[in-house]
Amino acid sequence: MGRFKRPRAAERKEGLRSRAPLDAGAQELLPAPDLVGVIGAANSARLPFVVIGGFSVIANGFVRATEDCDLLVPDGEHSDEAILRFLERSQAVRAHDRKRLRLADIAGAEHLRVLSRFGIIDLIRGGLPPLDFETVSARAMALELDGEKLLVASLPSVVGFKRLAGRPRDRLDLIELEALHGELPIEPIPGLDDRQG
Amino acid sequence: MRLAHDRSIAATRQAQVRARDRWAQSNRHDDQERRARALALTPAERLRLGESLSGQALKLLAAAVREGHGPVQAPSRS
Repeated sequence: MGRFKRPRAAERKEGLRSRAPLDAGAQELLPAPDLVGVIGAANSARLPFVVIGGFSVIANGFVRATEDCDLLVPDGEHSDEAILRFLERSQAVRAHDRKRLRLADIAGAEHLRVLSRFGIIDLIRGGLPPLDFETVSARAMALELDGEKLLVASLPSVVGFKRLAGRPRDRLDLIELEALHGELPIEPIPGLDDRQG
Repeated sequence: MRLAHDRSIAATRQAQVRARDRWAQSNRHDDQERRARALALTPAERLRLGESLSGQALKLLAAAVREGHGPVQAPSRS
């Protein structure tokens, strides 16, 4: 019996009840996420990154659809400049206001969701260890895809991010990953396990 | 000394709560957008999207397996 339980029907229904009204931005048809395009632009912008989110679940064995590319990026001035170069190469605008971002917008942002020619991209700064950029990148899988090198979050990091997110979809990912890998590596997550303890 | 220690613990707790709230807010927003986009797709667009996504997913998994990553045991479901 796995440690991760399937979400109850009531929890799944809650997701439908809380559906947001369609706004102009959401109605636009965006291209499917182009992972190779994203990592090509990130590499050419010299942006350090680790692929997290749905694509990292896939790389860890559970093949499912994902609608955006989630990149974990480091903090700091050099990273901010690289993010700006990456956004320019990706022809990206901020999702919620279609603004073409400047360095000042990037420097203060912990999470950027952008619309780009490669689809939707989420840029996320690392959290507290073990979900900080240094730890996640040090233990990531080094892969190559169509000639582009990339780091993809390894199983302990994916499990940490999924436990922290805690949505029904994340719990399903954990169930499937546990079925594939056996007992999952569980690490204490600040802000999550200290509250449950 | 004790006061400084308590303040340090309080600051850490606050940072942890901020991190958790940030993730929760981000995830809620992403979910709302995803549902809205899914509703806007026509059947033909859904097919094209599915083809593109599954092709990329298989390519990525193949890259991971080539490097010796991926599941170490065969799935067992009874």
